[in-house]
Amino acid sequence: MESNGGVDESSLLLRELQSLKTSKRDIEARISVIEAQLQQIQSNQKPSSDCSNGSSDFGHELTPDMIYRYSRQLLLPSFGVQGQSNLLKSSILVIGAGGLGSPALLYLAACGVGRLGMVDHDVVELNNLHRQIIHGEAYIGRSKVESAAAACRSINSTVEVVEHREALRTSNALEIVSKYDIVVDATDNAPSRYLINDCCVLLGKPLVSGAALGLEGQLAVYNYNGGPCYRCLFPTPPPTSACQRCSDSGVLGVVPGVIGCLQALEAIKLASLVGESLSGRMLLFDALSARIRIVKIRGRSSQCEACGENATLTRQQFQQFDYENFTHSPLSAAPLMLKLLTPDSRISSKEYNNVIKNGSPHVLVDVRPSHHYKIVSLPKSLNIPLASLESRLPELSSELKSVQESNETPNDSDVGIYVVCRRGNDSQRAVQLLHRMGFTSAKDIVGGLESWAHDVDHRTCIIITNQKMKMNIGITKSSIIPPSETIADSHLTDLLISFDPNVMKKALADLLVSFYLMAGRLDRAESGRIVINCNGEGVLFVEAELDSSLDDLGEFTPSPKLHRLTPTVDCSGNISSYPLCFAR
Amino acid sequence: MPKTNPGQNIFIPRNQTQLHFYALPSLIQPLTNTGFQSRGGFSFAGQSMMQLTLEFGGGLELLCDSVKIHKVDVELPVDEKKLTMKHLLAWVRSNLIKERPEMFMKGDTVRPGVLVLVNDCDWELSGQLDTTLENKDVVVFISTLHGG
Ligand SMILES: [Zn+2]
Repeated sequence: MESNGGVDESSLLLRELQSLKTSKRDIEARISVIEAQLQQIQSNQKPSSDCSNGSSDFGHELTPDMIYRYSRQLLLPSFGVQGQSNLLKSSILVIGAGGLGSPALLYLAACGVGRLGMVDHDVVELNNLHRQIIHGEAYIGRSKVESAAAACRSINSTVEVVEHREALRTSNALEIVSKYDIVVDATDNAPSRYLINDCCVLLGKPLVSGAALGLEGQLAVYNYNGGPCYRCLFPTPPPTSACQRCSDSGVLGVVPGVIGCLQALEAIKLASLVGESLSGRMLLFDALSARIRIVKIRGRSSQCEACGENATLTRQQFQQFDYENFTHSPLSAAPLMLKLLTPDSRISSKEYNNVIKNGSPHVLVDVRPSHHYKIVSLPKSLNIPLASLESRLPELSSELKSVQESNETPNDSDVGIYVVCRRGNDSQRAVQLLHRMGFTSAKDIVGGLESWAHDVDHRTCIIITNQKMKMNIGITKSSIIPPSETIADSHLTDLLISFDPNVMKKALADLLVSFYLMAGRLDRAESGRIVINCNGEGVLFVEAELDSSLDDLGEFTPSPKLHRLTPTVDCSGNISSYPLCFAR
Repeated sequence: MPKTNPGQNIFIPRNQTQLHFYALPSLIQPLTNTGFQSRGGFSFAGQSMMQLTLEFGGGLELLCDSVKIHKVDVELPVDEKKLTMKHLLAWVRSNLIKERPEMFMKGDTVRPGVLVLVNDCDWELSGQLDTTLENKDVVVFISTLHGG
């Protein structure tokens, strides 16, 4: 008990320390802003007290401080005072504060852009630091935008830095992007690239687009001066297997750094109205062979769905467009991984597996929404969704009591409390709350059910191989629905109506083309409900998670392993008697 | 420098085993100050061959043994006078692509997300599949990247 109390006290102290540090940082940031403002006012006043009109004295709006700060680039004949003064009046939005955004933001802040916006929803992780050079170790676990903004302000407090700590989505993109003159796409995924392009076309903003992976990088300026947009070049999204990510394929840190610097350069040229932009051309960078190739690309396409002559893209359509479905890949590269708890308040799924094996008395609380819990759950778990946890604590207490009695343990503090959710974020929030409410022994399972399925429960995993491609299918739930049984009161109804029928049909037609013949047909009953027409043979419903998209399987032939999915179904009848295999 | 005799074709030995047929530039275009350019192709044993440099990037090199640059001699298809990109794609698919051809082609053209550059110029500007290739042309296939 005493050690437990010590842990509790130190975690309280740690929390207080953290909050004091945060306040200290906020105050320091405020001080530097006020100092900068004061300096600005003083330097504006000083010349005007000497001469009647300070700024017109020099023929431009640069203050003496600005002239001193930017003197090395003012000396450039091709940039000069006019370029600097254009730059100071411009606003640039950098979307993504990662490998590309880091150097881009640093240079844009340093060179004196008037207003610099940054969008990112992600948090800084240790494995980001080798390439995302704007962030430091002190910011691990905190917002990338917060970290990047602090770095930019510390370099140049005279730049107006605007933080957008959110993911760019169709719902907020028009509003955010409309506030800036130039957009820098420093994101890491295909749907974001289409989303940003379409938004820039709608709002008439030039787009500086960069990408890097492995040891290669690419750079282009779209939607500028009659040049093409991203969709002119890539009207059809590539298959998802062609969209590798740094998190899967690796990237040498300096490679996005080079491209990010070049993005800053192109943005500076556009903002200062200097030089010749890369519009209509594309820069290809191959780090390994030390070669840069600049190629001429096609002009604006009259058939382009975004910017072409007959393009009908409206703001409303944009806001309703499903970019993730269009590219078959998610908008954010990595799921959010919070780190709210100290390691001693967390256990891994393997450790929890030992808790079960050893028969240690405990209660497992699953804090996911109940409709998730119904689809798949761990045995003997108690479902109390996070939202209602506080009000349903008596349920936890009585469960603890009954576990204590059945195990004949001396007191209820010997009964462990473990909390699980899907990925291990909500479970941490739940444990924080439980600690506050006096359940100080509560721990969460790191990585949640995903990690459990990955590390512990391999029974539900099968692998289908096709040529050289491997796909892991983790079956989270499978059940056979006999034809006579209505699924109205089953959780599968949720699963069905949560899908737009057109999306579902398209998924079957596009993604499951090889499964289609052996699948039941989707239909609509007279009542308007979606039904599965399976010729009265019944349907096996499988919910599975795939590690790659099915559209990449090409000429897929079902392997014998697939039949493991259908152990009790007689497939000897005609082809329509095969079960519907529905994956998402 | 071979003696130029406008209106006549000459043979230039390239190595001991092959003879290369060059069309004189004066036949194709007025002589420029860039000097003698070998355009066109060369023939050997009744078949026309085309020397090309093919480059793969953005991950496409993984489909051909992770080799990025391929210097190749491509035969003109029988009964054809010109080599087009359509021919070349079929040739690349059967001679260079070692795995997952669907990651390179879709139908008779490249898959979405692959840029094709003929002499550093988007093939969209030269007629896509109908682009006519000439000797010593450089063709780049590059997959668009999304990472950052
Ligand atoms: Zn376009």
